[in-house]
Amino acid sequence: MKPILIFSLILTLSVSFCFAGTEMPAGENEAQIHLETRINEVLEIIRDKELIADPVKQEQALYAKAFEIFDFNTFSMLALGRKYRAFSVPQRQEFITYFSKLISNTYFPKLAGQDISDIKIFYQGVHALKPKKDIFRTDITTELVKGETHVAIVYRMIQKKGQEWKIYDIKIEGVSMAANYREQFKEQVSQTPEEIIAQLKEKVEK
Amino acid sequence: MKKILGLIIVVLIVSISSLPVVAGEGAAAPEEDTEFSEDLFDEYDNKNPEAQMVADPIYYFNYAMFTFNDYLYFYGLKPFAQGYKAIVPTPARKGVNNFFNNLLFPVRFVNNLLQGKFESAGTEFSAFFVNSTLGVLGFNDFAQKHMGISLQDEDLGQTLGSYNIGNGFYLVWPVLGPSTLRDTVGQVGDMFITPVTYVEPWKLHWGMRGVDTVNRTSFRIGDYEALKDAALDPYTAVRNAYIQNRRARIKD
Repeated sequence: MKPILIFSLILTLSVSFCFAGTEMPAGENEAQIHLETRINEVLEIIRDKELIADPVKQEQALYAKAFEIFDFNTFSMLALGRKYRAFSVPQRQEFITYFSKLISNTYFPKLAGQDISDIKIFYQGVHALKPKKDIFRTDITTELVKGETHVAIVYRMIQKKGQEWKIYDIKIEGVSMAANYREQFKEQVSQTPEEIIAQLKEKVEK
Repeated sequence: MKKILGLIIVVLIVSISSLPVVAGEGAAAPEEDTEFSEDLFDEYDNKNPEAQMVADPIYYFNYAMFTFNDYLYFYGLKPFAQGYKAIVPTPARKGVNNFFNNLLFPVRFVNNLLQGKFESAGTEFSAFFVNSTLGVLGFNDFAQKHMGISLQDEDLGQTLGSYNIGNGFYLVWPVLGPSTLRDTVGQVGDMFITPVTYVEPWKLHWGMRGVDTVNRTSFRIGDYEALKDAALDPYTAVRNAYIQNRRARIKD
């Protein structure tokens, strides 16, 4: 174990020196470091052999961990567009609950049997957006490599005052998830918040 | 949209798995900062040319074709590809994939040139040369594996897009799937420089196209299902994903 520890220490130090050397706004590298740490933590959970044997436990561990990473409020806001304004606070909560369930119900069961042992993530660039009052945003461009397959992924991150960096949208091969849902909700112009929630609920519970 | 499902899943797990285990637990009071949200809305709005969505004047035709393709996938292509995948080992499937990919060299080469990407065109040429020789007719992607060369996927639709020619409107073709007026023109143009087009007799020609399609699909089983399952409106989700993906590919 020793060489690994030393190696990672060197790696960490060199990474921080790299960042110290470049003149980036304070928030920028912070966002990337935060993202990297979180992604590594999640990958560890996915690779944990004990948890692989116990899917229920693995799911719980993932929930607990990944919960800190994603800003579902902002994501929902973007997915709904201006319709979001028509939602009362409890309706927003309800929407978020079912919306997150819909996405996880779709993808979680498919995790079983996936071999992700050789996944590598390359961080290719950070682009800080102009801050708005106390809200900072940064786009982090990455490439996920598995075997000979490369997938371009952009994590859009946000930091509100006094809070940690969180992901509010992901672009996979140029496809923004929030924008994708947004157009779907837009198609149903006449839907009220109640109807939207009911539709989500039905889809989740089906 | 042609990437492996597993990768997408991991990305989603990594990022979206933020499930409120107890409802509302993580949904910190959804207070709205109006000024900020207005900014965000504008950014993702239709008025932003970056987020502009495609016109769909022949919606009913497209929807019918979408439904037809959906059936074709679930009752024809998918079971076929699953059977094929069960019989043909992965290295062989990869080889077939490489072979057909190598044959698309003229399309990538010409479109790199048309977009003024001379360096990429050169890379294409060397990759084609190496893969066709050392890679034994392209079955082995020697250049990518051992020389660190990566190919840039270009086609005439992207070239036209890079000349600022718009999508026109959305078009769903039976069997071939989502496209736009511009991309259809591109596909027809590209056909003329695709070697498979000129293969004779016609049985061999269609056989090759069939193998190519089934082989490609064998790598992507589950992708379409996932997109469809996560969608509230699968037709719109696919249309949107197609347009966003094409836009990103034109930009690079």
